Amino acid sequence: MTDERDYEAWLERRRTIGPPSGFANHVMASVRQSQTAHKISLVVRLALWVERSRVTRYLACSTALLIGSTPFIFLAYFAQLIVF
Amino acid sequence: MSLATEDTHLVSQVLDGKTGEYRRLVERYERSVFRFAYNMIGNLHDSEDLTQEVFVAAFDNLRSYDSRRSSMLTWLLTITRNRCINRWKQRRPTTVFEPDAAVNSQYPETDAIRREFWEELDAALVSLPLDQKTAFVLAEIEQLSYEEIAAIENTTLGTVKSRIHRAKQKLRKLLGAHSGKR
Repeated sequence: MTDERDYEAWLERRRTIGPPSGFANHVMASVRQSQTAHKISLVVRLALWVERSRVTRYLACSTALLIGSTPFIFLAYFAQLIVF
Repeated sequence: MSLATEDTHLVSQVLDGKTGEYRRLVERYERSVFRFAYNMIGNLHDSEDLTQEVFVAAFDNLRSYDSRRSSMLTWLLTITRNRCINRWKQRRPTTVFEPDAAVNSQYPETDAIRREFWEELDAALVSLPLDQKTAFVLAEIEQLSYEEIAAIENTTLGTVKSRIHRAKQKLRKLLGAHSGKR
């Protein structure tokens, strides 16, 4: 009977185990770290994908050129409307 | 609001970008996840690492959580179980549980014979086959229902019952052997 009680006490002892205090702070720090790493890895993966073939490189350059020249296209359009 | 509804609400808030709300889920379940990991691995430091990994993995895969299929606790314990199995395959635990000062200090009156018995039970738990140990820990220490354990282990109710029965039989043998010593 003593053994039964000791066995129950052993189970109870195993049930009382818990993480150290402030453990949630560590977890949240890891979560934020993982989020940042995930964002960085997305950029790296995109760069690697662009770098992989000539077509993707041309595509990336054309997109950058188009985005970069947009203000000038607008400027050229509005310049036409100005009558001296 | 029930626990399940609250969990679903928290999950949707986190998915909407309120990352800070995830802390509430962590605080709610860290104890169960840590305890399960510790009882499976038997090492405090590794259990802390694994618990942290589980919560990061859960956060990364929160979109795949379906509250209609399982409770948050069952989902987290499934991730914990899978991670424990991977860790066990990498390095099988050969040592007994590390004595936890925090736990032992709660039992200062514990006599030497009792402590020795507990150490034997700790060793017996470590030596159980992984499937039996998982079922035993979930049933006897986490006190989950057989249905929940079957969902976590992705197996049938019958298999769960037989695993728990066999694990208990092995521990009972130890109980018998220990009675002989007294």
